[in-house]
Amino acid sequence: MPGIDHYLWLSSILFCIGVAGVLLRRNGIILLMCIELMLNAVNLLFTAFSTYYQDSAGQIFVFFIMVVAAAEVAVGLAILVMIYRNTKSVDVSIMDKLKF
Amino acid sequence: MKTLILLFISGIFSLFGGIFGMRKILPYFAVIALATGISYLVYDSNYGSENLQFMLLFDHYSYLFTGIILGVTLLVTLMSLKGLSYNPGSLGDMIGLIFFILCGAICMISYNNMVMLFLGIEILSIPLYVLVGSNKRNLYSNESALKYFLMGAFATGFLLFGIALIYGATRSFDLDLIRSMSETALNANPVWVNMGLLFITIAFAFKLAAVPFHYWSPDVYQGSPTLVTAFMATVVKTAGIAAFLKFVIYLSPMLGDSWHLILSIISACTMLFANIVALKQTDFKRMLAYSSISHVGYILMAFLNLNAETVSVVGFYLIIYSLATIGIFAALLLLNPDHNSDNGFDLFKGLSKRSPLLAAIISICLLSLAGIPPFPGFFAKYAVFKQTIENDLWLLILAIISSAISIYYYFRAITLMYFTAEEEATSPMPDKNIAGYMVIGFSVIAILVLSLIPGILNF
Repeated sequence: MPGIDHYLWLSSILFCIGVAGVLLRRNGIILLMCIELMLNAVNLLFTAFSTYYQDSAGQIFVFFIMVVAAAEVAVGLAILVMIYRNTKSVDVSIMDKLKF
Repeated sequence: MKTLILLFISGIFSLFGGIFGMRKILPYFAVIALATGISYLVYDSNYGSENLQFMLLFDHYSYLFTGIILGVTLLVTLMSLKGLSYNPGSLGDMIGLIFFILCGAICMISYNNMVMLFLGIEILSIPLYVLVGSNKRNLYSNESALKYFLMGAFATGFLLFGIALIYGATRSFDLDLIRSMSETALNANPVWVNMGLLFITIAFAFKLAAVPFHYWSPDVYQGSPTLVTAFMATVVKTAGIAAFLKFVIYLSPMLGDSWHLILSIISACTMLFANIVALKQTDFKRMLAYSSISHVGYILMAFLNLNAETVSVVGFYLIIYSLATIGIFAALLLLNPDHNSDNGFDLFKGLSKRSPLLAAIISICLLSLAGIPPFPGFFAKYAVFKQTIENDLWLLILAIISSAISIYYYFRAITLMYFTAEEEATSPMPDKNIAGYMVIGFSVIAILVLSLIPGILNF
């Protein structure tokens, strides 16, 4: 029977994979997926705590995160489409015009 | 509460107004709606605090900071009467998005529950990603929208992970309950509590652009349209600082010595690094970005020693900082009205010959930001420094050194304006724009009044 510690480790590992992906990958779409992975790791943690304490507030929070994540990805994809129109690429490493 | 509803309805009205061809009146409508919002706020504040199901708490604190952001937004909207020339077709959307950002900012300032903090930050951020990228054909604007989006979403992940760990330790999202559970939680699960606090602090440092989480900020400030930059540097920063301050005040029983050490190191690095890097900038907007990062460093100093004065000190600092920043950005918009990406120091060479009034006004704003004594920036800095003197003397010394460094780059623009020979002058004639001059005039008069009577703002 997995305890709360196991869930905590699992979601921490998922979160770290997401963070590593955002820091290492260069494709815009993959970056969005890695951010989703971070948010879903948090969702898992909320649900685990919610079940552990028999408290529904954590699960309600998960719905809020899902809604906001959907809105955020919609805007993020729109930004990527705008960039693709101007540069014909979704590689974020070509966006390096702004530096001193 | 009435203000929040009014702003939300105004946002929807602006979106529809943009569709049905009422673009001409929309900026005026926005000004009226914001003025009504401020008067509702004053009216509400007479009736004391209002608690909405323990989700939002409208009290003295929230009225103070909401008043600041609404007043500053009023000035930004006045600038936008002509300032949105790069994208006139979507004026209704832009004004609607500004209203939605304000709704998010009010949620962030008045939250009494972690759910509202998260929702407020997201309601504020998502329209802002769109505003930053609103200059669609401009690659700089595209790039800054992408960077801001990625960093914002990344920081949201950290914030949520922190909230989840705090929830695991205290079983609650309610700030009052978390505060009352803090003793038990620290004894039972110290790792969860401390990791949670660390993650939330990192998320706020991202949002406020404190060193070492600042690297997105100069790029975004430089690339986005000047009007949006002015909005981000004042309103968004005020909302972020107010939310962080509330978090620190409520959860102060949880925050141990190690947290204080981390925040003081962040504050020290922010001040020193931002001021030193700002010396080398060749783009004026980028320099202002580093300047605003360094001001966040000064404000974070006040978070270390909480007492009865802290809220009013931070509020005073934010008012002075916002007035000077708005003045400079409005002047920049007059000098470069087409939102060209090139905002080099050439814009200021010999400005005193072209427009002595504008040169004087920019100088007053820059001197106030630098904290030179007769101007109110000095009083604001003095009040923050006074908070720190007892416990963190080393931080105070670093702050004084870094504000001495900052004088160099603020004076660089002033020297270029006044001491450039006529034949070398490259400054353009400023745009004739009554609304822009009104904004600048208001902020400078407010700065001068505050420098004569600094005690006038007494909350």
